[in-house]
Amino acid sequence: MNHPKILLIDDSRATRSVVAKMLSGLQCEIVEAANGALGLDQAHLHLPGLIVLDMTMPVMDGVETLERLKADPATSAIPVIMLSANSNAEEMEQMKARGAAHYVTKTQKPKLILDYAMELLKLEPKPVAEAA
Amino acid sequence: MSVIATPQDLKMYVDDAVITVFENMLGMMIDPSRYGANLTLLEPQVIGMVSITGATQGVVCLRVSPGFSSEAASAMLEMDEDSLSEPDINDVIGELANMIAGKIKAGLSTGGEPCGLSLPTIVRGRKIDLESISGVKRHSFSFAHDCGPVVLEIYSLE
Repeated sequence: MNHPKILLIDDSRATRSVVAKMLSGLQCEIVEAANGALGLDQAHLHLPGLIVLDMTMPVMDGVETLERLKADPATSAIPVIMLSANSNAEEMEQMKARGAAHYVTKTQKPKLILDYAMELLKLEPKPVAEAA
Repeated sequence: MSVIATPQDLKMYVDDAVITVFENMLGMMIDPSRYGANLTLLEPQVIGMVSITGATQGVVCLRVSPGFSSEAASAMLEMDEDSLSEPDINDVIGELANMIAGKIKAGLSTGGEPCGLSLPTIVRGRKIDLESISGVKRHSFSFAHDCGPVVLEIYSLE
Protein backbone atom coordinates (compact mmCIF):
# COMPACT_ATOMS: atom_id res chain seq x y z
CA MET A 1 0.00 0.00 0.00
CA ASN A 2 1.31 3.44 -0.91
CA HIS A 3 1.28 5.88 1.95
CA PRO A 4 0.39 9.49 1.13
CA LYS A 5 3.29 11.92 1.04
CA ILE A 6 3.44 15.20 2.90
CA LEU A 7 5.88 17.86 1.71
CA LEU A 8 7.21 20.24 4.41
CA ILE A 9 8.69 23.47 2.98
CA ASP A 10 10.39 25.61 5.65
CA ASP A 11 13.87 27.10 5.90
CA SER A 12 14.00 26.21 9.60
CA ARG A 13 15.12 22.66 10.21
CA ALA A 14 13.79 23.03 13.75
CA THR A 15 10.28 23.82 12.54
CA ARG A 16 10.38 21.00 9.98
CA SER A 17 11.41 18.70 12.81
CA VAL A 18 8.52 19.80 15.05
CA VAL A 19 5.96 19.47 12.26
CA ALA A 20 7.34 16.11 11.10
CA LYS A 21 7.20 14.85 14.68
CA MET A 22 3.58 15.99 14.94
CA LEU A 23 2.67 14.18 11.72
CA SER A 24 4.67 11.05 12.50
CA GLY A 25 1.58 9.28 13.86
CA LEU A 26 0.01 9.37 10.40
CA GLN A 27 1.05 6.64 8.03
CA CYS A 28 2.61 9.15 5.66
CA GLU A 29 5.97 9.66 4.02
CA ILE A 30 7.47 13.03 4.93
CA VAL A 31 9.49 14.89 2.30
CA GLU A 32 11.30 18.12 3.18
CA ALA A 33 12.57 21.22 1.36
CA ALA A 34 14.39 24.25 2.76
CA ASN A 35 12.91 26.96 0.52
CA GLY A 36 10.17 27.53 -2.03
CA ALA A 37 12.30 26.86 -5.09
CA LEU A 38 13.44 23.50 -3.75
CA GLY A 39 9.88 22.87 -2.62
CA LEU A 40 8.51 23.30 -6.15
CA ASP A 41 11.04 20.74 -7.39
CA GLN A 42 10.00 18.29 -4.67
CA ALA A 43 6.31 18.92 -5.35
CA HIS A 44 6.74 17.99 -9.01
CA LEU A 45 8.91 15.00 -8.17
CA HIS A 46 6.68 13.48 -5.49
CA LEU A 47 3.21 14.95 -6.18
CA PRO A 48 2.42 14.85 -2.44
CA GLY A 49 -1.07 14.59 -0.98
CA LEU A 50 -0.45 17.66 1.17
CA ILE A 51 2.03 20.54 1.39
CA VAL A 52 2.86 22.46 4.58
CA LEU A 53 4.40 25.75 3.44
CA ASP A 54 6.20 28.41 5.47
CA MET A 55 5.51 32.06 4.62
CA THR A 56 8.93 33.64 5.24
CA MET A 57 11.89 31.94 3.58
CA PRO A 58 15.01 32.92 1.64
CA VAL A 59 15.32 32.30 -2.13
CA MET A 60 11.55 31.98 -2.69
CA ASP A 61 8.99 32.84 -0.01
CA GLY A 62 5.73 31.07 0.70
CA VAL A 63 3.52 33.55 -1.16
CA GLU A 64 5.34 33.10 -4.48
CA THR A 65 5.58 29.36 -3.93
CA LEU A 66 1.84 29.10 -3.30
CA GLU A 67 1.08 31.15 -6.42
CA ARG A 68 3.30 28.91 -8.54
CA LEU A 69 1.83 25.74 -7.10
CA LYS A 70 -1.72 26.91 -7.81
CA ALA A 71 -0.85 28.17 -11.31
CA ASP A 72 0.60 24.83 -12.38
CA PRO A 73 -1.97 22.20 -13.43
CA ALA A 74 0.34 19.45 -12.13
CA THR A 75 0.25 20.80 -8.57
CA SER A 76 -2.80 23.05 -8.39
CA ALA A 77 -5.02 20.45 -6.71
CA ILE A 78 -2.58 19.66 -3.89
CA PRO A 79 -3.96 21.15 -0.65
CA VAL A 80 -1.61 23.59 1.08
CA ILE A 81 -1.44 24.53 4.75
CA MET A 82 0.34 27.88 5.15
CA LEU A 83 2.58 28.18 8.21
CA SER A 84 3.54 31.60 9.56
CA ALA A 85 5.05 33.23 12.62
CA ASN A 86 3.07 36.31 11.65
CA SER A 87 -0.38 36.11 13.20
CA ASN A 88 -2.41 38.36 10.92
CA ALA A 89 -6.06 37.99 10.00
CA GLU A 90 -5.65 39.91 6.74
CA GLU A 91 -2.72 37.73 5.67
CA MET A 92 -4.79 34.66 6.50
CA GLU A 93 -7.60 35.82 4.22
CA GLN A 94 -5.13 36.69 1.45
CA MET A 95 -3.56 33.25 1.56
CA LYS A 96 -6.93 31.53 1.51
CA ALA A 97 -7.96 33.69 -1.45
CA ARG A 98 -4.82 32.50 -3.25
CA GLY A 99 -5.79 28.89 -2.71
CA ALA A 100 -4.39 27.84 0.69
CA ALA A 101 -6.63 25.36 2.48
CA HIS A 102 -5.63 26.54 5.95
CA TYR A 103 -3.37 29.12 7.61
CA VAL A 104 -1.67 28.16 10.87
CA THR A 105 0.49 30.42 13.02
CA LYS A 106 3.55 28.75 14.49
CA THR A 107 2.57 29.71 18.02
CA GLN A 108 -0.70 27.83 17.84
CA LYS A 109 -0.80 24.34 19.31
CA PRO A 110 1.20 22.13 16.92
CA LYS A 111 -1.61 19.54 17.04
CA LEU A 112 -3.70 21.87 14.88
CA ILE A 113 -1.54 20.92 11.90
CA LEU A 114 -2.22 17.25 12.61
CA ASP A 115 -5.96 17.88 12.67
CA TYR A 116 -5.85 19.79 9.38
CA ALA A 117 -3.60 17.16 7.78
CA MET A 118 -6.03 14.40 8.71
CA GLU A 119 -8.92 16.43 7.32
CA LEU A 120 -7.19 17.21 4.03
CA LEU A 121 -5.79 13.70 3.54
CA LYS A 122 -9.17 12.27 4.57
CA LEU A 123 -7.56 10.13 7.27
CA GLU A 124 -9.54 8.71 10.18
CA PRO A 125 -8.21 9.05 13.75
CA LYS A 126 -6.77 5.83 15.13
CA PRO A 127 -9.20 3.93 17.38
CA VAL A 128 -8.22 4.23 21.04
CA ALA A 129 -7.50 0.49 21.41
CA GLU A 130 -5.21 0.52 18.35
CA ALA A 131 -3.45 3.70 19.45
CA ALA A 132 -2.76 2.15 22.87
CA MET B 1 6.89 49.72 17.27
CA SER B 2 4.91 52.51 15.76
CA VAL B 3 1.80 51.41 17.64
CA ILE B 4 1.50 52.89 21.11
CA ALA B 5 0.96 50.43 23.93
CA THR B 6 0.97 51.06 27.64
CA PRO B 7 3.83 49.46 29.57
CA GLN B 8 1.30 47.13 31.17
CA ASP B 9 -0.10 46.06 27.79
CA LEU B 10 3.39 45.58 26.35
CA LYS B 11 4.42 43.40 29.30
CA MET B 12 1.22 41.38 28.93
CA TYR B 13 1.87 40.76 25.21
CA VAL B 14 5.53 39.88 25.81
CA ASP B 15 4.79 37.55 28.72
CA ASP B 16 2.10 35.77 26.71
CA ALA B 17 4.31 35.44 23.62
CA VAL B 18 7.42 34.18 25.40
CA ILE B 19 5.61 31.78 27.73
CA THR B 20 3.43 30.39 24.90
CA VAL B 21 6.33 29.84 22.50
CA PHE B 22 8.58 28.18 25.07
CA GLU B 23 5.77 25.94 26.30
CA ASN B 24 4.32 24.97 22.89
CA MET B 25 7.58 24.55 20.99
CA LEU B 26 9.99 23.35 23.69
CA GLY B 27 7.81 22.07 26.53
CA MET B 28 9.74 24.50 28.78
CA MET B 29 7.86 26.34 31.49
CA ILE B 30 9.41 29.74 32.23
CA ASP B 31 8.67 32.28 34.93
CA PRO B 32 8.24 35.91 33.86
CA SER B 33 8.72 37.53 37.23
CA ARG B 34 11.75 36.34 39.18
CA TYR B 35 14.46 38.68 37.83
CA GLY B 36 12.42 41.77 37.00
CA ALA B 37 13.15 44.15 34.12
CA ASN B 38 16.56 45.28 32.82
CA LEU B 39 18.48 42.11 33.69
CA THR B 40 21.94 42.19 32.07
CA LEU B 41 23.42 38.89 30.96
CA LEU B 42 27.12 38.97 31.89
CA GLU B 43 28.10 35.65 30.37
CA PRO B 44 28.50 34.92 26.64
CA GLN B 45 25.24 35.21 24.78
CA VAL B 46 23.36 33.87 21.80
CA ILE B 47 20.99 36.52 20.47
CA GLY B 48 18.19 36.00 17.98
CA MET B 49 16.95 39.20 16.32
CA VAL B 50 13.91 39.72 14.11
CA SER B 51 12.69 43.00 12.61
CA ILE B 52 9.03 43.85 12.32
CA THR B 53 8.38 45.86 9.17
CA GLY B 54 5.43 47.76 7.75
CA ALA B 55 2.77 49.62 9.68
CA THR B 56 4.22 48.28 12.93
CA GLN B 57 8.00 48.62 13.20
CA GLY B 58 10.58 47.47 15.69
CA VAL B 59 13.27 44.93 16.49
CA VAL B 60 12.79 41.98 18.82
CA CYS B 61 15.89 40.47 20.47
CA LEU B 62 15.92 37.17 22.35
CA ARG B 63 19.05 36.79 24.54
CA VAL B 64 20.07 33.52 26.19
CA SER B 65 23.31 31.89 27.32
CA PRO B 66 25.04 29.30 25.12
CA GLY B 67 24.05 26.64 27.65
CA PHE B 68 20.42 27.66 27.49
CA SER B 69 20.51 27.78 23.69
CA SER B 70 21.80 24.19 23.63
CA GLU B 71 19.05 23.07 26.00
CA ALA B 72 16.44 24.76 23.82
CA ALA B 73 17.80 23.25 20.61
CA SER B 74 17.99 19.82 22.23
CA ALA B 75 14.35 20.12 23.32
CA MET B 76 13.06 21.32 19.94
CA LEU B 77 15.07 18.96 17.75
CA GLU B 78 14.93 16.05 20.23
CA MET B 79 18.68 15.54 19.89
CA ASP B 80 21.44 15.09 22.45
CA GLU B 81 23.23 18.36 23.13
CA ASP B 82 26.55 16.72 22.16
CA SER B 83 25.29 16.04 18.64
CA LEU B 84 24.00 19.57 17.98
CA SER B 85 25.90 21.78 15.56
CA GLU B 86 26.12 25.58 15.82
CA PRO B 87 23.80 25.99 12.78
CA ASP B 88 21.25 23.73 14.54
CA ILE B 89 21.33 25.98 17.61
CA ASN B 90 21.22 29.17 15.53
CA ASP B 91 18.21 27.82 13.66
CA VAL B 92 16.30 27.13 16.87
CA ILE B 93 17.10 30.47 18.52
CA GLY B 94 16.25 32.32 15.30
CA GLU B 95 12.97 30.48 14.96
CA LEU B 96 12.03 31.14 18.59
CA ALA B 97 12.74 34.85 18.10
CA ASN B 98 10.66 34.75 14.92
CA MET B 99 7.66 33.17 16.63
CA ILE B 100 7.87 35.50 19.63
CA ALA B 101 8.10 38.56 17.37
CA GLY B 102 5.09 37.40 15.38
CA LYS B 103 2.97 36.92 18.46
CA ILE B 104 3.99 40.25 20.03
CA LYS B 105 3.29 42.04 16.77
CA ALA B 106 -0.17 40.49 16.60
CA GLY B 107 -0.94 41.88 20.05
CA LEU B 108 0.38 45.35 19.32
CA SER B 109 -0.83 46.09 15.83
CA THR B 110 -4.26 47.34 15.02
CA GLY B 111 -6.45 45.35 12.66
CA GLY B 112 -5.78 45.30 8.94
CA GLU B 113 -2.41 47.04 8.92
CA PRO B 114 0.05 45.21 6.67
CA CYS B 115 3.33 44.26 8.30
CA GLY B 116 5.79 41.46 8.10
CA LEU B 117 8.77 39.82 9.78
CA SER B 118 12.36 39.69 8.60
CA LEU B 119 14.42 36.54 8.44
CA PRO B 120 16.12 36.03 11.82
CA THR B 121 19.70 37.16 12.50
CA ILE B 122 21.93 35.46 15.08
CA VAL B 123 24.69 37.22 17.04
CA ARG B 124 27.05 35.42 19.40
CA GLY B 125 29.52 36.95 21.82
CA ARG B 126 30.33 38.24 25.29
CA LYS B 127 29.02 41.54 26.70
CA ILE B 128 27.03 42.62 23.67
CA ASP B 129 25.31 45.99 23.96
CA LEU B 130 22.85 47.12 21.34
CA GLU B 131 22.77 50.91 21.24
CA SER B 132 19.64 52.73 20.23
CA ILE B 133 19.68 55.60 17.78
CA SER B 134 17.86 58.78 18.73
CA GLY B 135 14.14 58.31 19.13
CA VAL B 136 14.32 54.57 19.64
CA LYS B 137 13.41 53.16 23.03
CA ARG B 138 14.58 49.86 24.52
CA HIS B 139 12.05 47.78 26.45
CA SER B 140 13.52 44.86 28.40
CA PHE B 141 11.83 41.88 30.00
CA SER B 142 13.36 38.91 31.77
CA PHE B 143 12.27 35.37 32.41
CA ALA B 144 13.61 32.53 34.53
CA HIS B 145 14.15 28.86 33.90
CA ASP B 146 16.30 26.25 35.62
CA CYS B 147 18.67 26.42 32.65
CA GLY B 148 19.20 30.16 33.16
CA PRO B 149 17.63 33.53 32.41
CA VAL B 150 15.97 34.60 29.18
CA VAL B 151 15.97 38.28 28.20
CA LEU B 152 13.55 39.66 25.64
CA GLU B 153 14.14 43.18 24.33
CA ILE B 154 12.06 45.32 22.02
CA TYR B 155 13.54 48.36 20.28
CA SER B 156 10.79 50.71 19.11
CA LEU B 157 10.12 54.28 18.12
CA GLU B 158 9.32 56.45 21.14
